Amino acid sequence: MRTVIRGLGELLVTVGAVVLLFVAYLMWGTALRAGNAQHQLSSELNQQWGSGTGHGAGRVAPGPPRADQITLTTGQPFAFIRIPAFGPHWRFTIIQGTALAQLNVSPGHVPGTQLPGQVGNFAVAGHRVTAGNPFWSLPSLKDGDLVYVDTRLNTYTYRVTGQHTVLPTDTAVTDPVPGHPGQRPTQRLITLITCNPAWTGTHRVIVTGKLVSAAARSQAS
Amino acid sequence: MYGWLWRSLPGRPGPRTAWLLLLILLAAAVLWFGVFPWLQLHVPVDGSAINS
Repeated sequence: MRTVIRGLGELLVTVGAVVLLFVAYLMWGTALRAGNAQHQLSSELNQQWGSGTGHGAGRVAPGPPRADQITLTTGQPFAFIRIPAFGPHWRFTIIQGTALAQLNVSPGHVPGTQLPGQVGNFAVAGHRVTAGNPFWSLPSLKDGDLVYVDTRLNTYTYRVTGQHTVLPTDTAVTDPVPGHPGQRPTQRLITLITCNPAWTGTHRVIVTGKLVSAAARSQAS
Repeated sequence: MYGWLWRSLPGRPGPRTAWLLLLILLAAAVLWFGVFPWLQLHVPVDGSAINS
């Protein structure tokens, strides 16, 4: 009996230590991995675009937008997202796909939704916690805040127009006209998605915005 | 389990402690670099993923 109790105690101590280590991994290990992945994805994108290391991000050359030719491959980056309200240096790549394998390294474009600047709804999901907490501050965005999306040729500027909380089953938020499946879109929208509250999967925070300008991207941005 | 492990390690208490630390580090490394990345793909800790 004594041996059994001692064995059980040792097992519980071991499980406790492993759980603590897993929590540490989620908080810091995933941030390190995502940071390395972001560095690699950014380099990959800049190399594809032939635009150096991204110094001077934010400068946009005057001129009309050009026709983007974006090829979507799951797990591959095709754009950068910048939200100045999160800090001057806040910038993440957007990769194709929103399964855990993708969100663990970068915010992802929801498959089936429109591309940046297109008529309809460009939806992007990101982790609020783990993987560098890219959308940690999403619920703090206010109406009027700006969201920039840089593609190879253009910079699209969206203005935040609203925020609400939905259940994870409410996928109508990613419809071309959110909440109106089948309706023909006329506006160019963005929808940013993350979990709420943090560390749970019970609800999602949805931040919506409208395109206010599109311009040719300077080589430096 | 831990008693058996301690008794199985070679040498005097000093080298045994060093062996034990090495084993703990090895187990932690296997968890950190192998098990946890795999587990993270199967444990949705924040529910942001959208599988369409």
